[in-house]
Amino acid sequence: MRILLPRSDEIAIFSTRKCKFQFWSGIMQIIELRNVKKDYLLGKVTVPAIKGVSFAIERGDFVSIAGPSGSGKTTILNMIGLIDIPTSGEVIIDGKNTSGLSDHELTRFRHEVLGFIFQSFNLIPVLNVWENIEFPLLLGKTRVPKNEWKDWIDFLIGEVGLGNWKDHKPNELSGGQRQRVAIARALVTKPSIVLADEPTANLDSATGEQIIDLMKKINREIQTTFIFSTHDATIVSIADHVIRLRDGTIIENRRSGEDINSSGAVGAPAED
Amino acid sequence: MAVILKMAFRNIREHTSKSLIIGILLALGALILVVGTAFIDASQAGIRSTFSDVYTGDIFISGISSDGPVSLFGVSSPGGLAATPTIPNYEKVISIVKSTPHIGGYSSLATGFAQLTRDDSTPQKANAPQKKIQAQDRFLFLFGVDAASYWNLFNQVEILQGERLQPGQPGLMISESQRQKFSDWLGKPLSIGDTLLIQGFSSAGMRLRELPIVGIFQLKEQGASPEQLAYIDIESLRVMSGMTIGANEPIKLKPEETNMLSTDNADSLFGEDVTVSQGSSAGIDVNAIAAQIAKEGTAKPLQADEGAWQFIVAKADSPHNVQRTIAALNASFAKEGIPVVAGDWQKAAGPYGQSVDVVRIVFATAIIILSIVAIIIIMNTFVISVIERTSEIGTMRAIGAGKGFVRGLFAAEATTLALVSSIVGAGLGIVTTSILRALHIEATNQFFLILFGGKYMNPVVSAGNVITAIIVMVLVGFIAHLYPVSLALKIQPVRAMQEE
Repeated sequence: MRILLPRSDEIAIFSTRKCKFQFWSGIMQIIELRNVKKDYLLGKVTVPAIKGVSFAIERGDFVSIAGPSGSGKTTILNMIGLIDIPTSGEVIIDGKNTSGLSDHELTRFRHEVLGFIFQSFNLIPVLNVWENIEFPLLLGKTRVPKNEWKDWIDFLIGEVGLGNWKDHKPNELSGGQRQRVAIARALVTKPSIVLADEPTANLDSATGEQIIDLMKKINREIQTTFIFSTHDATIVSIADHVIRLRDGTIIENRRSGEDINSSGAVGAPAED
Repeated sequence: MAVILKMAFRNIREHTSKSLIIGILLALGALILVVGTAFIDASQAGIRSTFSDVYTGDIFISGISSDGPVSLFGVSSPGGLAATPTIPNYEKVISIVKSTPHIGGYSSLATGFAQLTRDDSTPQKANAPQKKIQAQDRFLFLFGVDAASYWNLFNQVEILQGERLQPGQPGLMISESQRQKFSDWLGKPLSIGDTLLIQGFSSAGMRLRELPIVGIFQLKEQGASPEQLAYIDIESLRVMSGMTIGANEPIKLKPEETNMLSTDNADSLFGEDVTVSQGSSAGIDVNAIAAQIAKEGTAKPLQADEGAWQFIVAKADSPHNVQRTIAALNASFAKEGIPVVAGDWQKAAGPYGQSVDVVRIVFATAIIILSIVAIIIIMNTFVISVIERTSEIGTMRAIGAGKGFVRGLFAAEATTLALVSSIVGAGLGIVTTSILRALHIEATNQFFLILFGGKYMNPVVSAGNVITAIIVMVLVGFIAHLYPVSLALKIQPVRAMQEE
């Protein structure tokens, strides 16, 4: 059993709902979207991809953003990940309003706060497993002190079960192995939030389940908030918080059996 | 930084075909630069060596012409008819030359042009077995030398027959090839003592001189030099070129030409209608005039005076002192207000010296054009690489790599590839140059004589040229990557989310 301690800027509180201690920086909601809209210009036609969406995500949640193709889930994920800018509305992450940040500030913020897991793994082809996982640490200051890098990376490699594959390049790994590397890479900077876009789409069902179990385990142990954009019913079924989209609007916002209305209030019935 | 270099090296290795295309282009460019500059440097060194060792020395002093630059070959004027200026205030100029430090030796000379002609006045002469030769083979480029000092300064002339011109000795020194051609044209074998009738050209008109051959010569080192060169005594050249007001030389006249002057009765020289009356000679000392007339001709032989020399050539005590000495001379001339100018061998060589510059300009232009083409090809190759790596670049940006990181990555790839390729190319250039030198290829005409800087192809690679070639090619590679990297920086992190 691992015992985790809060960071210096966090306090530990006991969640009766989850029956466990949670670390709180004073801000329960790690992500908040306020009336976010996103329009795309296709020639002369403006296509509204997201039509005024508001929701909040708590720290440590395992969140699924679900919906059919074209519902806008990837767009929402992109805006949470600060790699796409909303046409209007606000995206607040860890208490910081990200509107108006420059490209450099957004890049730094992503590096410090976010981790990414892509559908196609997106590993760097010329780096081996160990180097791919190490890569984000080399891009700037992180929460991991330099003298702890090696041990931390080795720990993550062990956690994802790739201890014997450190020196292998991505093209020498299976899909599942590559996704494990991507998970480890996403966690190496100890981000507050990990965003995963269809992480099991290119995997067989057995491998996909293994990946989901791994992420769930990490979510429990390290309390990293995981947000998935997914069709996968398995992920939806085990998610603490499910947000369903259709045609750019939220049709369901449910956390562990509780309906959340558009204002984010728990307990109020969801609007039809 | 280390990860950037590591990724750059591995990307170069990973994308072998693109790296090869870029690498071959850059290596080829470096090779061309090394070999080309070796040729040009050898050409310049060869011409410089030939001219400075044989004709011009290190320092060349001439008068100034308003019609154009002055060289050994005359004034480069638009009409080509301007007279070569003589050195004004010659004694003063010589005094300045003597007193300027770092001058190892000097001599004076003049140049002119002439053509071999023949006397067909008698049927015997006209019917001699003559062969036709090219018109330019009868052409003579005359060096009128100060025999007292010229041969001490320039010792590249090897005498095959006869002797060098001596001070005060009239005559011609011609080359062995000229002797053969002249013999063919005149229809008789030529040897020492035989006379040649030459027709000189100058702004003063055309003048004929008949001069004996005193020496047959060849140059110790065959270089890019005027083929029609012949040495002549300075007195004869001055007369043919109209450089002096008069000349003191014995002239033999026929008896029928001198009869008039041998009369005893001076009055018979004048007509009957001239009357001299008493009193018209007031103020005139007749006795003094008579005494003057009675003096024998005691005028000194023509000395080096105003208008007698066109050029002064000198050698510096060290090649490193040449430019410094030239500057000192020009400062002295300016200070004294003497309208002469000092320059180096290239000024003296005139069109031959400019030929090197022309070759260099043509080569540089060709290199620029080739570089532009190479940049375009390399740029396109990099653009393809960027397009293929869109997802990778988007991923790096998404997980926190800034634009500086992406810029640095591509710069490292371009610079590394360019550096390695250009070093390989420069190495191949050195090998190629060595092979060409070992082949000992002979120049077959004047153009190749100039290009080779001598009789044989002898390109020499210098460290400076190799380094320059490498730097130029690295720059080409770097410039070529700028546009593709600007495309890479425009790739938004959202592209990483898109499926490959």
